[in-house]
Amino acid sequence: MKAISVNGLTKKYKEHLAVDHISFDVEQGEFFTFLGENGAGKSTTINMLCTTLSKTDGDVTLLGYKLGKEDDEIRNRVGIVFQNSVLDAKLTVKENLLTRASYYGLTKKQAMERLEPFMDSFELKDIWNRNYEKLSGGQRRRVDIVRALINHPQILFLDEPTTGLDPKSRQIVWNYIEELRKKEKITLFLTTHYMEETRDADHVVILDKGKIIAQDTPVNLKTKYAKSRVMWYTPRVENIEAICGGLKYEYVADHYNIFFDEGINEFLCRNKDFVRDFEVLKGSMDDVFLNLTGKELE
Amino acid sequence: MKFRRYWGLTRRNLLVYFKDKQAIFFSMLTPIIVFILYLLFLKNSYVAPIMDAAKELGDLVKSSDVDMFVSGLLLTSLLGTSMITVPYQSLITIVKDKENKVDSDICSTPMSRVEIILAYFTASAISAFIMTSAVMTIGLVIMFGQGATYLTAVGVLKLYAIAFLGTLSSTSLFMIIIIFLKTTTATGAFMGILCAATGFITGAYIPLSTFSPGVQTVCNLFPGNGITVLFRNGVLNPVLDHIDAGIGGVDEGSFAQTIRDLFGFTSKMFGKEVGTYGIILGIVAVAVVTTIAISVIYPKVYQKK
Repeated sequence: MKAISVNGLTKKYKEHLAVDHISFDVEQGEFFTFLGENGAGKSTTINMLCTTLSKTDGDVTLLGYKLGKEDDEIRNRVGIVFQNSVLDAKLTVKENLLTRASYYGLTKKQAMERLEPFMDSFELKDIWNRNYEKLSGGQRRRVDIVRALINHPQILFLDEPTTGLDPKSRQIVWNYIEELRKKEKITLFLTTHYMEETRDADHVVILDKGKIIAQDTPVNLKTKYAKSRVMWYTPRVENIEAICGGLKYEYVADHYNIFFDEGINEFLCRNKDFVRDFEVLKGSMDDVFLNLTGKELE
Repeated sequence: MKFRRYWGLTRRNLLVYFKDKQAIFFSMLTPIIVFILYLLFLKNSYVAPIMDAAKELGDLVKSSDVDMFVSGLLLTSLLGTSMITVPYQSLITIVKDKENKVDSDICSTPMSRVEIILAYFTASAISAFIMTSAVMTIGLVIMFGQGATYLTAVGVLKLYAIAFLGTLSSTSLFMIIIIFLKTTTATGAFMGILCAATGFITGAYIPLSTFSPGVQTVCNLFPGNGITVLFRNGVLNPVLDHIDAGIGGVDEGSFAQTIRDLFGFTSKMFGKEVGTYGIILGIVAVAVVTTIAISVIYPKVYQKK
């Protein structure tokens, strides 16, 4: 059974198509990523999958339950980390988490048993009785993630979980998510506009203007849509045209970027007397996105 | 419907209200204004005409009883106004939750719409009852310390029952209004209007009897007015009865009746007097009608996107 199966999912606001007949599958235990710029339809899709937004059209099943007909079954089995925090500023971490646990019918004892593993791994003990508004951005995100895990979800939706965080806090949050993947073995569904966050994904979907424009593993996407390049550290050389032999190149700061579809080994062997100080870089997700959409992301 | 889920959200809403000192302050703003006005000039403007009328009766009306009457009048004004502003302020949580997308978080759980709506309603009614009861308890303690209130234990219990009825009717009425307010800016603007109007509707600033019959009818349409009238009867009738007994029928009860007419012990609709039971019936009717409206409107409107 697939974790998520989406067929022709559509969301229309009057004349505006926010999500335009998208289809994809997510395997159980997979780390699945939705990549796209703001307004591409990522959050709209997540909100529909989480049952908080009605769909205009399409067939969706989550863990075998039909969206729109078995929503309560779905709600019991998914957790969401929203783009903006939805916990109460004036309440303590403890009050926030225990009240949210009660929304799933959990007793205080059951909630505490559920939270116990996160006390250490998510470092909740030190902030347990602190008001949510007094926490740093990174600490808040940690609590948000724990809140999303309180009902023991089989699928965890993360809607741009690191947006607005400083690089250090982002890294910390990602360390927690990594740990979560290893320990909980749940399906992760991430939306992001940070390229590097798709690096470890099993599957990436690229969304543009509500439509899927590409979907595959990160490696396959890079192979298909991004050129590898050789960074050759050298002062400018006069016979660069001859050395490149028709390959596209550019000179940046202190090196040449020479772009390849294939044939890097042959190029390096042929020019081993000149090209000595170099790096070979595989095409990045930035290149994939740029080539597919003509736009750059962060 | 699962009680634990419903009570969990109710408890959260109560915590959100009672932990927000600003929300508490603004919900008590009108009662605070009434209290300040009372200290500045309302007390004297109430005492003076009563004492002038009492002079004609010689020493039959004790000044201590008049003071107790005016204290009671203040207390009923505070209760009447807080009965309106507290449930409204507490219900603003619905709009804040909508604005901060907390409603999406709640709706992503297995809680049903009925549980969610009922939780907001219950939390607001409980907040209003707690705040009104606190004001009433403090007020009564001060009055008991001041001298004889002539209130019986049953009379005090009736006051808490009125507070309970009032919180239910006010909350259900404001639930209807709040669903149409989309932003906290809008709720703030409405709160400003409510604060200004509440003092007049309940007769806290100026006795309603000084208004024209038309204005009186409009004010009496609001359950807050009826509740204040019930409070006045509950708190002040024992003092007035005692004053009347002290006069000993010399004036054939006209002094007490004049005071009752002046300070709004009855509700008047289209020039006709509505008795206590009529007022209670009106308040219950408003609560029932608005509750039915809530159960129809909310499931259709709440969190539908």
